[in-house]
Amino acid sequence: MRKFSMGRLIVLGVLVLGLSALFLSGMAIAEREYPTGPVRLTVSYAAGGSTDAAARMLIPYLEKELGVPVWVQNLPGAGGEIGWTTLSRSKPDGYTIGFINMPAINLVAAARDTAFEPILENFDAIGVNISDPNTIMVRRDDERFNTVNDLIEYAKQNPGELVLGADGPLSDDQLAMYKIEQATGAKFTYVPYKGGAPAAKALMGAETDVLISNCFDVLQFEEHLKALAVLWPERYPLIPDVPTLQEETGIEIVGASTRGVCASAGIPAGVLAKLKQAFYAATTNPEYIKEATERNLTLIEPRIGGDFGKMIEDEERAVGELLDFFVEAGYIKK
Amino acid sequence: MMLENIAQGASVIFTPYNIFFCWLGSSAGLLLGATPGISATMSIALLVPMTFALSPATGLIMLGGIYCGAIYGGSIASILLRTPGTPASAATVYDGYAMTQKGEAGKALGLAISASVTGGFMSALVLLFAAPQVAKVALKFRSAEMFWLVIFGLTIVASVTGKSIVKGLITALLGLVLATIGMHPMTGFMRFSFGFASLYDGIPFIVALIGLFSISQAMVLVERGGEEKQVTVPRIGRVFPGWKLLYKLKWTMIRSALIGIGIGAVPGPGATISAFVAYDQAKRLSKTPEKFGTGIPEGVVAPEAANNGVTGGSLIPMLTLGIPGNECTAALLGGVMIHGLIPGPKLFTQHAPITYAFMLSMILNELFYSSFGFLFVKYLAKMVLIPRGILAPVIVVLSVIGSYAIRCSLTDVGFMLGMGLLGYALRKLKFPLVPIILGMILGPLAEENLARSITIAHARGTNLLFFFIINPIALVFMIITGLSLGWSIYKRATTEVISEEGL
Amino acid sequence: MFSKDRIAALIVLSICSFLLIVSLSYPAEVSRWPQALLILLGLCSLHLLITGGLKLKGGDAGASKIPKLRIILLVGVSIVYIICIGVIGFVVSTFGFLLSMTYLLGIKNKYYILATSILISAFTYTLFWHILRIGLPRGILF
Repeated sequence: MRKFSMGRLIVLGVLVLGLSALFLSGMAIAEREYPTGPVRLTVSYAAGGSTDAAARMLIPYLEKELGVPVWVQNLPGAGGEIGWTTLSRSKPDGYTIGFINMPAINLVAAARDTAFEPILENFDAIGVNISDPNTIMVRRDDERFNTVNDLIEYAKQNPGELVLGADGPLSDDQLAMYKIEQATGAKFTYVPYKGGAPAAKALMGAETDVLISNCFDVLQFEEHLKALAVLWPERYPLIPDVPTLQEETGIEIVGASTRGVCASAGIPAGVLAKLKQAFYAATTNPEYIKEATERNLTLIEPRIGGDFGKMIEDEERAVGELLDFFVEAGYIKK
Repeated sequence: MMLENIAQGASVIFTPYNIFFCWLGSSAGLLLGATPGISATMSIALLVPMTFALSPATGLIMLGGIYCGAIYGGSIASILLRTPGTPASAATVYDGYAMTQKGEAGKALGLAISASVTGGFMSALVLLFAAPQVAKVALKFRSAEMFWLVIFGLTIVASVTGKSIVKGLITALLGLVLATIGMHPMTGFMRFSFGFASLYDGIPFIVALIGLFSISQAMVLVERGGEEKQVTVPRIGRVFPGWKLLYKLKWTMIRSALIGIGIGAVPGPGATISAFVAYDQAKRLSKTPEKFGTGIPEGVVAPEAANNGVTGGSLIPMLTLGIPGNECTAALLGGVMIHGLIPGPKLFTQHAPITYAFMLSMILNELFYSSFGFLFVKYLAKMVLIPRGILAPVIVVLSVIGSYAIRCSLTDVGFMLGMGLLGYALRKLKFPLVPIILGMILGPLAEENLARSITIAHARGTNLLFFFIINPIALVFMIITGLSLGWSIYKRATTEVISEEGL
Repeated sequence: MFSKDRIAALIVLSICSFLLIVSLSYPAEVSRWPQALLILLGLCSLHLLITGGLKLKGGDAGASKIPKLRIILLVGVSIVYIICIGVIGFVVSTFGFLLSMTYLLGIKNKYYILATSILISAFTYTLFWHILRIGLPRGILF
């Protein structure tokens, strides 16, 4: 026992303290100096889609703020699950960030056993600035419905008779439909299509009666389809002639497809702060806003960090409330 | 009004800058499409981000060039290497490669160019002058009609089977079953995925195609020694097929092009199916159907005219309604939207100069890729003289990249290898491979449309029979299907089937 | 008796039965279609099993002459290649694969081997990473 003298203990203690200080300061240096290399921005859908377009639009502005190259990696599959799993499993060092889509991510997490639930525990929210509200559309020459009230009344009187086609299953459009059903008592028969465009085509060809989609489609199909309402607190600038549901019926329902950027949970605080600041600066850059509006991106006021996290919570709650609709219709198993 | 628009479009496209990008697109597309493992869809999708920095008109013109060039380019690999460069060229493999083995590779390549240009040119004209009208007809194809179109497509299996119809049925059903892996289109229920997230969307079609055709071909190649060349007759022959031959084939080409335009304009089936339907039709209408597969011009010309016919045809619903007709136009649509253009009538009013320039560029593309082809294809044809020991590993590398690039997933590469082994086994056991492809494309379409029709009929309280049968377009296809089956059965009973293993 | 066709038919039949059993646990709406297909497939392979397949011209003698070694080499080395891509990195693995595979398949000319390996590796790297910007797998090495 005498061998282990005080002296040696002290030396050992100093060594340990010194090494940890070095290690911690190394991390702090890395944090302070972040970023030192390229940053990967994941998109959980194929190239050419709207999330992909939004990502590519953002890149030059993010690069300017961060000072390093930012590149997009498309990780499509399983309705986004593959990409989000990869994102949630990536090293939390700030060199991998990615887009998450709501309510898609919430719906997928509810429907299947995923690697990234609970969402807020697996992701660190950076910021969100894109939200595309849902719209309700019918054929222009459909004399049955001139306002959304006509539609809802009809659906209440004849439950299940109206065929509602929309992207899905497990899409923001389907969720919006259940929100309407819950709030008004209307009942539709849902028919899923592989995307908003085939669903719109079906409506135009008179195979379906109603379409729930997003704002962009209102413009795209303006000639054949009319939008009866938009599910947003106020009228949406892209489609100023479309009334909100609240205006027409007094019931407020908000539904949208939202895209924000996150990283895997556990990023060092300094790095996260830099990312949040970069995102905010990029998305409030007037040039970015101008370019994005020209390309018909559906922008909203950016919400950073905790505010974005709250949006995720709200979406999670909304999905939870309507889970029964999905279960009853067979899209989610209990 | 239209002439004004065409004039405006012309002024946009006939600038050295845009002409250059048009040429660049066609040539790049040709080379990418010719590479086994890189499909036309992938070529477009990969180059869409690059057009981000270009003006909308230039970007679209370049993408259009890639589309046309790649669909033609795929035939080069089909003819010279027996592996489709892009799925649309899968039907060209049989007579194309057979001609190569007879020493007529040049003629096959020249026929492919001529047919592709015919199909592409005709479809570009239809696009330019009749797009809205054709779009109206395409809208009438709802779920019930699509279902019968798909069933008709499945009757092609009879044309591509060899001696044993049972074997053809087995592989067709195999393809149909493979297609059920993954998410059910209507309910989202996961079938046969056994917990693998990579299987949630099923086995990607391209991965299966690359595996079944390219990898199995690589394996067939190594059956003989590495130093050997892959063809026994090392002759290539003249490329230009001669005006007399082309004149003789004119009806085949025109008919096949129309098939391509028609099938392209209906969102769903796509270029691969149209190539096979055209091949099938050419075979049925020919006086010597048993010669198909042994290396006759009709066997090359029909699918190539059809698949390039799809290029213009598929752009009709895409431009007029924003609804992609196939995978390639879905990728193109990304290119349209990335520039902030709104597909649909606005393209023809607000953005008329850009749209008309794009449509005019489709005609130019034919010029560019065909001249590129005629000039350089005889050098490319020297590929047949590459020793097997070099060709096989290179095919493997390209296949690996091609299957990886789809979803950045090595698992997909694994699937591809598995499908390759399956393809090789099937070939050795004399089972036809094409029905698997047909099954994989048509199966999901059939089930989706059937399920949808049932749900809608139920909601409307219509009798199912009524919905499906008392329906003009559906009736037409039912009759065609019946005729097709009847003809096949008759022909089988009366003619000698030469090819043992079929396609 | 045990012709190749019969063996193939048996394999297909067993896969069918397995999948049918799996599909029994699926809800009716989604299982109808695959079950119908599997039953048809089972019937066809049964037919093949019973009829024993076709009489091949010249018998199976031709088939057994295939040198199995080269095929197994190709498949085996390819599997190693794919694993290496994930572990070592794409470009190095591709180079190694091409080098070894061309040699193993019997190409004697060293220059061909080297040229092919370098050219293809460089070409694919440039095309995919620099021009097309697809993430190629990076492992320990490059």
